[in-house]
Amino acid sequence: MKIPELIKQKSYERIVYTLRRHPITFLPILGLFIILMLVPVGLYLIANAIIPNFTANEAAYPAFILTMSGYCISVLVLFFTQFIDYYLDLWVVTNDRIIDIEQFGLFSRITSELDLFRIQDVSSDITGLFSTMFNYGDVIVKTASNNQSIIFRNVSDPNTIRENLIKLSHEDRKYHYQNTKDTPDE
Amino acid sequence: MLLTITIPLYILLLIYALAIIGISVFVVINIYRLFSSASFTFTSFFITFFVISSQIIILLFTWNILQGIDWTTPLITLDIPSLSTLFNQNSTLQ
Repeated sequence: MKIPELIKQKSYERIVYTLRRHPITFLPILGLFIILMLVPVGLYLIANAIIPNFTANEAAYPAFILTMSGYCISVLVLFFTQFIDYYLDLWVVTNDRIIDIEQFGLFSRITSELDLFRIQDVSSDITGLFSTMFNYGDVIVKTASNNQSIIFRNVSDPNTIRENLIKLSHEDRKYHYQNTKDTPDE
Repeated sequence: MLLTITIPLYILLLIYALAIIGISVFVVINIYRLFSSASFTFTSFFITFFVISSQIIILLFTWNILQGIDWTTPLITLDIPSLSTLFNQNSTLQ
């Protein structure tokens, strides 16, 4: 499946942005993954030091290898699931609307849409040392109604996205009001 | 009189096999999620390739190390007093 299919792109619609979280936000998970993968090595060294002739032990050694093998494979799956959780958060901006697709765990996905002409306020938020260094942060898009807002979380270059969203929103508003004027009153 | 229960090493192998089947299902679901959400890009392909190839390497490594193991070797041997002994002990206490 491609993004136009996913968002059911309309004929007049043009995809302006396809946004995902900044790769740097995945680094803590990568670091944790490396640490967890090193645990069996440490345990092997400890077991080898504590139990004499550990590798020659007929029961303990195979049990240890099987357990550690299962552990490593589980850590890999955990890493993969975390990556899916990170990578499947997607924000698509077209010249007509914003589509927010957020993945929660493995079996939960929330999709919401917002028309560009309804946008009331767009703000960007870059907080923290890493966010400032690597230029990533949140873009908060609000509409006139209080209950509808979309947050692009930890996206690259949030200021440029904010400026372009404002431009796109103005263009879409002009287009909509033009169409409303053109339509004869009933 | 003692009741001796021996848990052989192959029980661990069975648990391991079940875990691998469960994990494989998770990986397949993850890959399906990638395809169904228009997210199968170079990055996701690279990560998927890394995860699956690492798992295969670990499995092969485990297989290689554990060749020639006698799986009937007792892993744990439990000596449990039989029921009759327990009753006898109780009657002695009274």
